[in-house]
Amino acid sequence: MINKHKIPATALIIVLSFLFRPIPGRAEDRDIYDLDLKQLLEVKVETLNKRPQHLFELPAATTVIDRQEIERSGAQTIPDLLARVPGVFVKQVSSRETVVAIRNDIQMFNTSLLVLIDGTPYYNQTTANVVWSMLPIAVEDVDRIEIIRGDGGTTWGTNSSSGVINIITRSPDSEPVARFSAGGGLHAPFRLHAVTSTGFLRLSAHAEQDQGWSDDPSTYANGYVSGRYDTSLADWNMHLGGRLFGNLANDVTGGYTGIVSDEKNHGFDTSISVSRTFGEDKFSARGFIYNYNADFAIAEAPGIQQSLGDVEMRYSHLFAPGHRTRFAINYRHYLSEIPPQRFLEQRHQKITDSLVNLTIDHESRLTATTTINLGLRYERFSILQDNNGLFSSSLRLSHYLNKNTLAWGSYNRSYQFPSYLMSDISVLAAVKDNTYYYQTGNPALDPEKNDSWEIGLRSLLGNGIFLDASTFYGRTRDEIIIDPTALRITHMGPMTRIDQFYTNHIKSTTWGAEMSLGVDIGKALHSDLGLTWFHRRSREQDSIYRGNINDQYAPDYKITVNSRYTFSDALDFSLFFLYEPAHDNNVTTKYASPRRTDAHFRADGSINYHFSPRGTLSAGFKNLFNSGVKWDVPSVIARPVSVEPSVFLNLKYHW
Amino acid sequence: MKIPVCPIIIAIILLLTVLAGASVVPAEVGPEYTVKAAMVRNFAKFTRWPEDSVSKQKKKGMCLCLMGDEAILASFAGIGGKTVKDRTIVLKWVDNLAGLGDCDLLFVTRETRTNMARIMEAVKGRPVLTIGETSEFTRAGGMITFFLKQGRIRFRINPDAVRRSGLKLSSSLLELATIVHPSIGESEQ
Repeated sequence: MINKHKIPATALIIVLSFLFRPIPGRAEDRDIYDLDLKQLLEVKVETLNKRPQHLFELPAATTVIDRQEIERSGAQTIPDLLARVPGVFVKQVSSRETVVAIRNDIQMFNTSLLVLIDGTPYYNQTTANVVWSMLPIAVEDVDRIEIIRGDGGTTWGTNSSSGVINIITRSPDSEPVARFSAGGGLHAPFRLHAVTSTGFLRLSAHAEQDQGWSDDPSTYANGYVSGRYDTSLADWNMHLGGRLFGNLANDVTGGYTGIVSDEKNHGFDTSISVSRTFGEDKFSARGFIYNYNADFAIAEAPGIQQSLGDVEMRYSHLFAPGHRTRFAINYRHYLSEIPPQRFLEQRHQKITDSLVNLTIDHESRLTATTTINLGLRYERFSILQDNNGLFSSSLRLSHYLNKNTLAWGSYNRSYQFPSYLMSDISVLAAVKDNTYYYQTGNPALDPEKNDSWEIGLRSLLGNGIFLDASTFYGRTRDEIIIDPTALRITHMGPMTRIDQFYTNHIKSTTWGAEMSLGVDIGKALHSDLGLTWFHRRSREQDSIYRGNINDQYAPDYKITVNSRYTFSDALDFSLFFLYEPAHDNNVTTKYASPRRTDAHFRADGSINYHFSPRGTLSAGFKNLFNSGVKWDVPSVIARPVSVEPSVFLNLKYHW
Repeated sequence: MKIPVCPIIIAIILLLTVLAGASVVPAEVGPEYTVKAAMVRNFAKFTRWPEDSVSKQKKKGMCLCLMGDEAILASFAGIGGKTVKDRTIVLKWVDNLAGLGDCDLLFVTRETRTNMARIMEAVKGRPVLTIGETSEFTRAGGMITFFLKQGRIRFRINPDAVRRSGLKLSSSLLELATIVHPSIGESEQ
């Protein structure tokens, strides 16, 4: 049970002794600060050509997709951009919905991937995943996307054991006075986007509408308006923001029952953040409220109301140059109201939960070439019946092998909490031979325990070649799984109802490697080759569980090539290829039939004509070569679908 | 008996890390932003602010605003609290245009997302010594721009932009700089 999860005493001693150890002097820095200008002009500097130093030095597998890449790629959704990243699996399962996983199985309810917008978590607490189609952000409003592969537990907390995607929005002062874009095409959504900014206040509006795929007749319309105001009070920086969003979908097929219905979703969020520096120290605080009302037609579950309140304070203290400690305290409050449903039952109609966490993270530059980072996080989440609090820990180390090559390694331990679906709710999962199969929550679940080890290398090899490689091994204990051997059978006349409960009886291991090789060929062409190798294996943890065990429903490997070619100042071209081999999608339940995704290529591209310094006309395509390829993803679709290729035009103009 | 593997691994790694710390970096090599921070302090020494602006700001010291990559805060910490002409350098992290109100110096890193023209507009006509690192910064009307040459830091000065702000730079500083006039190019002194 939970009280077994105690922090190892040795690790605590190491952390404390490290924090309070004498800090070595940085005589060379102090000397530099006192040099005069003529002497400074003679000092040779260490620099990392073209790449932001703090990203290069991160002791984690990290990829950043920046504004320039977003603009040139022609990508129309955030998952389209994520597909380019090694270690990230992306599967578009309908014209509207996409499933994203990092170093994990491709499944709809992916609880181990945390998605943030400007540092704030956006996820559906009922299933603990992100519904990408309901995320109130369009690529036009994104400044950059930071993808951290591997365990982010000590830094980011709950539900980030396989990775973190942090979407950073554009600030008012980064925008022109106004900009506008419009686009549409064959099997592509019609999109309109408008932004205006004074430098302090930014307003943005987005609308898109889609007619669905030949294989999946559901259609959708999404829209939102958002605003952000940046100001300053004395030495305090302040941001105020908010969004109103909604979407409509018609003819959505229920995931298991096949019932076709419509859905309406709408919501709002609002945030405030303040920050200031005290010399080299920094304090920041933010508050966030998120509320939405959703009909999950895929589960025939209309009218679900969910809210999140989040408050966080951070303080970053520099003890001496190169020795920094960050403290954070965070409180979240969740509220879900689920009205009576036809195929979904819950123990409580109104569910409230709260999460408190404390984080301490210390970074020390031991020498000019070696940095160590120790993280410790305490979390207490009321969703757990035995709520004693949990400690996550991490140790990260980085070392410059030479001026342009960094090696890093890390060990992480973190926990993954059950969702309401796993702990509180019964949902109809299949109807077969006069039998209703329900997946039923278990309030006595333990959190999953994750341990992972990673090693990576980042290097500027010269001649415009950049290598970023990492390998990992992860181990999960107490994995939460639907247990077909833990049954409750109820006879209802000619029909039978079988409840299958979630239990903690599986252990899994994952291992793999990722590599990205960026090459500049002349000034005009840049290409990134991405290689991913992934494997996952699951076994019984104890003798209680005797059901089927799924090993992996993600491809064994993935190959991507992402190229950008600049013909002239007026014309450039972006082309992206992906290949994934066929893979099984077996579901670990008694009633499931084996499912399979065909091997497939994908090609996305965009040719961009900058007809004036203010305007760009783009012609793009997406999912080329995918036509006729069948894929089927657990928990998402009742039957295999064929992905539809699309072609589109897009016009952008700014003032 | 079960051996606690994880703490032992952590302890071994920590020990190896501390032992690895014995390596020494050559003294003549400095981290890029430490050198730039020291140069910014020197720029302040060679700059004369208008009398009225100094008298207003004197109580608060000399406000050095930083914009862009937060990672540079640690490098600039070494000049925070040091004095220049009896004024104490006070560091201020700025993440939006509204925060530029009381800056005496402004350093904009290459990582900033902020539109350069908007930054220049926000400090236009005020005695703020603007320092940057990109050609976009120079084109937008920035005063001093760092660049790298043969592994060493050099800087360009745009005297027209300095003049318009009401600041005066010492000839000793101009002698060490590459002078640039965005409309007609640059010339070595």
